[in-house]
Amino acid sequence: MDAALILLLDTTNYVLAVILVAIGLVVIFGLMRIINMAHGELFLLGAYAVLVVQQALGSFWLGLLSAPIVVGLCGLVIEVLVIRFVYTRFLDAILATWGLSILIKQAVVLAFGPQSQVVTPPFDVSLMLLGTAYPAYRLFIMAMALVLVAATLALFLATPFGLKARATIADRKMAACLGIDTRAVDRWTFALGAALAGFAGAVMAPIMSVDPYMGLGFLIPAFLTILVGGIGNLWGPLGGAAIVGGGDTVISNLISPVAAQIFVLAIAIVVIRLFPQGLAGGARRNR
Amino acid sequence: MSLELRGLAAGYGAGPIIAGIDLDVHAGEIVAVMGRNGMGKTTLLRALMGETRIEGGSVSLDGRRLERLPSHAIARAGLGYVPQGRAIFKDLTVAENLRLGQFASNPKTGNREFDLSVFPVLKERARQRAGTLSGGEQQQLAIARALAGDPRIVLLDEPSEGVQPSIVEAIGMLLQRLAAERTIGILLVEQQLDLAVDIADRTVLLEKGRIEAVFDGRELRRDPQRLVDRLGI
Repeated sequence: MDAALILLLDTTNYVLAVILVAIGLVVIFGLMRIINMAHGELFLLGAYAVLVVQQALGSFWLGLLSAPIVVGLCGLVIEVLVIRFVYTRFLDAILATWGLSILIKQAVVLAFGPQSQVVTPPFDVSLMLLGTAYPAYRLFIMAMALVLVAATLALFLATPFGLKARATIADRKMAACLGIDTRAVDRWTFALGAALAGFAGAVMAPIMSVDPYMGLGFLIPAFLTILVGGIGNLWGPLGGAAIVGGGDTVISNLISPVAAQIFVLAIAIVVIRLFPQGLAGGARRNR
Repeated sequence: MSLELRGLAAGYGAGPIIAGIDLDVHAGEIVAVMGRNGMGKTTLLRALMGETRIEGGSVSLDGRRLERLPSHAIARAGLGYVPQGRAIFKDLTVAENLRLGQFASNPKTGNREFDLSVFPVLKERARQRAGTLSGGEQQQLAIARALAGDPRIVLLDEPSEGVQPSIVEAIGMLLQRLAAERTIGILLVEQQLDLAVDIADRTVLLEKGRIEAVFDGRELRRDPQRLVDRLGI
């Protein structure tokens, strides 16, 4: 019973952690059609932001608050200097963001060195759940993921910015003809995606080793989540995260991590074959 | 209060599609633009909205120059646009489409009371997805959305396209009412001769991207054959 409950909690934790990391990617790819290869590095900038603030001021919470602001501002600068020139150039966008990822990683190596560093969790206690002890910070991560998903949905479904963004995605030219500054929508959407990545990095930092390569571990599951779930709506990536994260954790525990990786990649291939737009986009229609 | 075009030329890069266009649209006036297919009618409206590159001449609204502004700034300056094919946001609700229209006059929130008394059907269907409306209702939505931004001049590109005759008649009456009661200037590109002749104060004939003739509305209603002969229909 204990083992089953731990497996369920670990699976839920990993699924929600993947969602936490993927949501910024979903915003940038889903709304702007930019495959942001630097997403992992925005994630790591969030982790380093919390590290720096914790080392300087001794407060994890201040770091958690400042990380999305700092990384969001970085996103704003990146959009203005790089991304806006490659919106309609799909492959160039991949190359440009890949170059950015190398630049950010090496800048972090120069500033902080290549070694791993530690962010201390704000609380180091376990809670008893049905008689089983489970780290409270992992429950906090799960709660943060749910809050972030709800806040993102609310932003896009219930605010003027969200309405402008949805109109811009649907028909950019018509949106502009209605008085919507589509350039500003692009700029703030990219900054928002970056801020979400930074927040994810800050939240995850206490349970990871903070080093210049930490973004990679979650970047691949996050991309697979989008590929499997699709980006037609925000529910697609949630389903994708459940399949990718859930499959990975369950099979890792029951068989082996290698079998889990094979399963996840096989699932991704099958889904892409049958549902080229992801599960949210519907099945391929035969001609 | 008027839209003034002087020597306007516009195109897509390989030479102008329209050139030497001199035209005024005053408050409360309906000006129809007619011509055969490919003569530059849609290009004219797209150029006014900043969608097609202006290669020469000027566009001003109440003395404010518009020809170098981006589309969103043109809309905020007071030009409303109902494009060919309507371009409503089909996955959004009717209410959301109307709210989008309001961003032209209120760029921050788009949140303002909007009078739907002339569009009762839209009021009834405010929560319905726009894509589920009939063709005529979608056309009404496109017009209402343009009006939601409090424009001084509205540009309409073939509002009768794909709409049944009774609805075309209703659209014609609606445009006349908007021009008379709200003193909105209307620049109407239209293929359907009856609608243009019935409601326009002036009708401009476009031929190979240039204005070939201008007809007074009342004279044209007495003798529409003059325009028919020039159009070759």
